[in-house]
Amino acid sequence: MKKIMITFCIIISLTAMFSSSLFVEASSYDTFTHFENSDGTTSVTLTKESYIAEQCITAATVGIEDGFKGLVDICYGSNGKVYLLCSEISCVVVLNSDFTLNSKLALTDETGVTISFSGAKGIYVDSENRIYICDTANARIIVTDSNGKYLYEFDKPESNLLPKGFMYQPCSIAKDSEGYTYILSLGCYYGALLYSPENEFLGFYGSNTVKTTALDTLGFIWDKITGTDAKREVSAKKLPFSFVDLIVDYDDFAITCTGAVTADDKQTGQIRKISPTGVNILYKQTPVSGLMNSDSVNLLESEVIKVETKPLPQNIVSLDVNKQGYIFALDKTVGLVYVYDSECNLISAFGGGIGYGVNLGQFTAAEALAVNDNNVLVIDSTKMSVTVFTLTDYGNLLQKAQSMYLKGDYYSAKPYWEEILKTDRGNQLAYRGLAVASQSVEDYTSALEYAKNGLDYQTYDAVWQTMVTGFLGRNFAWLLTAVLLSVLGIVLLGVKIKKRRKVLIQNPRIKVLTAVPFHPFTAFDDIKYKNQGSVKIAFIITIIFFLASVLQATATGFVFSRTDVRNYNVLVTIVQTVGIVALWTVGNWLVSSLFSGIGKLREIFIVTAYSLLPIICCIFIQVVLSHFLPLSGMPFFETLRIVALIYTFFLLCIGIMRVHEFNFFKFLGTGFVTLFSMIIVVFIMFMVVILLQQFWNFIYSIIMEIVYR
Amino acid sequence: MFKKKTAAGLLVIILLLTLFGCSNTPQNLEYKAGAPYRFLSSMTVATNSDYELLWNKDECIISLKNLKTGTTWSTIPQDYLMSGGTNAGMLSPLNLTVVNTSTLTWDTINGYKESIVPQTVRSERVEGGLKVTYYLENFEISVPIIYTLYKDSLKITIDPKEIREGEKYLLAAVSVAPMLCSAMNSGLDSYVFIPSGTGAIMNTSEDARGTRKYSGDVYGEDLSRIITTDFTDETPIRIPVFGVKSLENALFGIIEKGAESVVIEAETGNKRTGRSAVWATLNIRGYDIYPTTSSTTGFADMKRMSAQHSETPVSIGYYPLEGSVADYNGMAKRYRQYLIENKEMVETTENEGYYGLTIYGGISVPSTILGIPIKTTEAMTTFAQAKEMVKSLHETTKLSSQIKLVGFGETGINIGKIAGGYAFSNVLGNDSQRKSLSTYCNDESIPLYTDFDLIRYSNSGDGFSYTFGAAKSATLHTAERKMLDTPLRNKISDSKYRLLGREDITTAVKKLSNFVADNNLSGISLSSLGEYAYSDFGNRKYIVKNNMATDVTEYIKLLREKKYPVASGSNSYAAAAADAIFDVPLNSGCYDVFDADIPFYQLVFCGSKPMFSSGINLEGDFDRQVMQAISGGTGLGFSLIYDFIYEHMQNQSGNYYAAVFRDNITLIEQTINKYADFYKAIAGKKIESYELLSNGISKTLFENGVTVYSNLTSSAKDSPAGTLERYGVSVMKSN
Repeated sequence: MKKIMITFCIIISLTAMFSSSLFVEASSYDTFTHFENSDGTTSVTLTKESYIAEQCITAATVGIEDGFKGLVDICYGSNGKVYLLCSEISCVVVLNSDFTLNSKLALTDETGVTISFSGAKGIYVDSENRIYICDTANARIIVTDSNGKYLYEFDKPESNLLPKGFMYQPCSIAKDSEGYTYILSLGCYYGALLYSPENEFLGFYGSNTVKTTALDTLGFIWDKITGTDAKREVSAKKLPFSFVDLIVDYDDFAITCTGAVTADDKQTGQIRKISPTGVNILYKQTPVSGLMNSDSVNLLESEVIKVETKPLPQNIVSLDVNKQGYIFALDKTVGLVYVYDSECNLISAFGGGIGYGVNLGQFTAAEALAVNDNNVLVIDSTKMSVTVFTLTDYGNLLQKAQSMYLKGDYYSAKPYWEEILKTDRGNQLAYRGLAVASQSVEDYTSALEYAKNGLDYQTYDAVWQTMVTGFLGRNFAWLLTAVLLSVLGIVLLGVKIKKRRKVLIQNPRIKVLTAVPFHPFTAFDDIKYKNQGSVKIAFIITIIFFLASVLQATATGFVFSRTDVRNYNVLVTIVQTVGIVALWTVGNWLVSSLFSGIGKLREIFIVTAYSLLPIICCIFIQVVLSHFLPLSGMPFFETLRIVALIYTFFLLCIGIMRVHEFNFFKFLGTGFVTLFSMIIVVFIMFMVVILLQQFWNFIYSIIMEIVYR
Repeated sequence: MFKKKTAAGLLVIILLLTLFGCSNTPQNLEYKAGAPYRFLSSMTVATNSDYELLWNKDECIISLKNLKTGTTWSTIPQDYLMSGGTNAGMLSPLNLTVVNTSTLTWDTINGYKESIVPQTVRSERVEGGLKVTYYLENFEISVPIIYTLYKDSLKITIDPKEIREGEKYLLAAVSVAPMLCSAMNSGLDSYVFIPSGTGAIMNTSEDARGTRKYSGDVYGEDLSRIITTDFTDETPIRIPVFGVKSLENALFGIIEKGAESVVIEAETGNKRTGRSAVWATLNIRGYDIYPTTSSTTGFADMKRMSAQHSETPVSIGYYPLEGSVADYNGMAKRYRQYLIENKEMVETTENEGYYGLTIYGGISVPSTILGIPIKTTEAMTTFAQAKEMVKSLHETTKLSSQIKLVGFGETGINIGKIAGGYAFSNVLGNDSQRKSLSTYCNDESIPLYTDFDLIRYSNSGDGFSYTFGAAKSATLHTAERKMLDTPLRNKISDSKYRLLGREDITTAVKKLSNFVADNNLSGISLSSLGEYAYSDFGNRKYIVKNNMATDVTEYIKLLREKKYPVASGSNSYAAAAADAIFDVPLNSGCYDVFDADIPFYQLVFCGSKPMFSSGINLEGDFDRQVMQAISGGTGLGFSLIYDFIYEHMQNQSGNYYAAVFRDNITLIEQTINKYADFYKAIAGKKIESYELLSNGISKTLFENGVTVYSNLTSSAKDSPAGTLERYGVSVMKSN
């Protein structure tokens, strides 16, 4: 016993000692992507650069003396020119495609007088090179020709559809190929203002939704019942968040972003693609998590940036899309540009600076971005500069390959993926692409290997199923014969043993143990009245239960396993197995003592441990079968597990009833109270831990105070 | 009895701890009020055949005048003085950063306002120059500065031991002669030179960007400093120099002593002063940064200064350059000459090496045994595989290379014990395989260096205690660093490492020397020792990074005396003393304030010894980096592993994803063969001059007359050698 305890202590100590993982110092220049783990979470992984910061354009480099003052927005025109909105000096700077100065436009009205738009926040250039300036402060959108000559403007529409007191502050505008215009108004939570090709206001389009929880619903019902007018007047209403940027992609879908919401890691749905009916049709499709609407997906980091301990909110402020359909999003807080494909897979993320960026490719206040086929341009309002990121050969390959993959042209993408792997051995998308490509040419062995590397469970399962089916088809006759012969052999052996009246197990205590699953009443009676139970055996069973659980977590077949072995911590399993058995035993003993139960602590422990036999057997069977069965065997697995659980509960029920001499209802009653007592014990343990923690913090702060003084 | 003994033991420990604590009490440098101020009359302080050192009593100006040309460099620019300017910043011979001991706030004090105007200055003759003590009565601080004329330079020296302080304020830093190295904001043929990374220049023009400021610690940030956030990467200054070019003249500063404690600062395009300048700021004390609360943002940083102050003198030599040498090429030549004159430069041109391979051995990976988390070392490259890689490349390229083995210790590339536990990891192969690699390299005359990290560690071992042996930060806490996650730069909680106490590095080097002898290693690489400079406030000798350069130089000398070739990281002190340099910077820090990169580092070291870039095969802009290397005559460096252990390295694996040998072999062969002729042509040759033409083409002239035009842009450009394709090169040999 002592030795076992020591072993456990060592295990726990080792766990604490070696709980670190591999880290390599990151540089703030690094490009990264998200690696999808087997449990559906994502982790950051460095990747080859898709875009490289090539140059930084300032007013000085293009020869403008008064600078890009009030640089707030940027866009590409269909003519390849770059348009910069410098609102503070009411001008639009036009750059040629090679980023040399084309012109500096001061907008003029019909009479030639210069128009001031010092509060403007957005610029857009349509396919006919008309320039749209979102003059936010003056509640209008000015439309000019390519030379900056005034054409018309979008003022606040006169419509009953507008709510009372609606503040019209246009900040972003986009047009689709049919001529429909979408305008975002600052702080407007109704969605975008939609205009017809004839510039007639049609209504609002595609607002964000309010996320509610069950608690919110309960609160709502409670308010309905108990609410008074006075109470309602002072209550806060939950409103959807307003969009901060809107673009129209090459398929005429509007894509929006929401900006900063909360300073925690729970933010989801940062980017939405809106269908003509106003519904979000942006989905994240992954082989691990399946299909999920972007509303329920955190597209950015699972952790938020912390300055000291204060978290800062994620803040996507600008969007753009390239011809291949890749979505580019700019997070102002961190200064990072995220590139997603149409299924929300992160292709790469680059930039950075977190408000302190002083190097090329980093930002202090990244404000907006614009993309074309080869470049990503990001403006920094503090530095008054435009940073030009250029697509690398690797980035080009990756976008091509992923586009083919998304279109289902797996085989054509194969050489691209192979080339990508040569430069980035850690690229998960490449492994997934190659898995499907290998499957399409029936190279199943390679497909399995690639799918395993890429954690592509769907492809792995499909390939495995094909292989298993093929194997069974080819060898059915042999296998059937083997199975029949095995069954026959077992039956004959059984008959032989019975005939010769051989006793296989001599030890009465082990005999009782083997009898538990088949004759539970007799077996538990023997434990209670004939003292045939063994604490040692019970302890060994508990250990086996723990080991089986460890085995299940670490050795289950690939398609059935969702645990990352590297992050697996045995402590949790100890708590889930040994901890629960111990807690139940003690809890039941304490509770039953109050309810006239006559069972001893020893007996409760023995019957509890003996009752675990079905679940232990089930785990071993599952672990073995998981290496052979495809994912379609999951229902069988689940059924097996449920049967084992029910049988375990059944055995436990009989065992407890027998040792305490309870009837069924008394067992149920004491069982519930035992569960409650277990919760209380856990609660008290947490309280003690928290108190100890606080006490330690108190001592620590005193020590630090003394040290610092 | 036992209890008594325990109690006595505890008492002794407490007493000892108390006694040790006393050793860190600051030295008494009390300021004495009413100092005997004295002004020497304006005079020529010192003179030699070329220069004279002048003292102007009225404005307390020190000037260095070239007797032949009449060019004068002054602590206050002559033109500004003549224009009658009254900007205190321009008129100040020194600026101080002080800390109020009551409020703990940091202030910058202008020396002109606080010392020159109230005339609280004492000037006195010293041999070859003048000693001026600036008294700042309001702050109870006095700073003596010695100005000495040398053969071709003005040397400014500050000995922190002579600085006096009162109780109200403590001195944190001194900016010396901030306007001595300055030029007018003409924008024409004038610039400030900053040695960030490979080197960069800042134009002096007044443009839409307004005033541009730069500040960088010489040899990088003090690694022992406790910091709260680390959002950006600072590209370290590798060479302790700076300079300014002003039309036909230039002034070049070399921090000759105590460079580790210096911060190089620059300001260009300031419309208010009309001048651009670069200067050295000497850290007198170190500091740690702690979080505190702010009424506005909720959080803020607070600097806590060290009690002790530096005792190491700092000396800066200012070298006037004129005519054809008045540019960064001339500065580089002067610095090279300085290194040779001071016997700091080891020249090893006989074994050039056209390319350098850095081969990574093991990696420490998390694993489990029945759910128990453990760490094991996995092989990315074994010794046998390393030999296969070296042999394969050697046979196909037929060119000599130099090899550096990194991460072949107990924990691989991960930080573990000092020097990898002075052992080779078993998973990387046995002794005979290691010797086989060594023998092959020896037979083929390929220098082979094994890298050892003698600074960073995360476990005790081999006599180096993780708990008691680590260096101390400015506030006397154990100096500890943590790795950062990639996107958000949050510290990774369980990735910490410490820095070996500076005193113990000597022991570590001696142990390394024995280990090398026992294992018959052919060469040693000291990358971390040559790249990181740090303080140990537990010992007064090592505060504000003091003596790192001299110590490391001694360590390298010690190893070289035992006939072990040494390769090092790129800090100039280590680079000059070593036989080869790896991880040579190819770019500057690419800060927004820089206008162009120049290969100053290469201008100094090219031709003196083999030098290689860090692995360019890992770079996203491979072609551009190759051009950067070629334009500076730097050998191409490649980083390689044999196996990418996908299951372990898929997450947070650095950029080893691009280092797999079989994925790179063609690229390496093609690249080396493509530029073989160029490297053969410049083998062992120094760079005569480097020029950046206006269209992104660079022109490098080597001492043997080879001229190289490199296109550093992503589009075809015209050059004097014809049109160069994107990232193309043209090599012209003189007849």
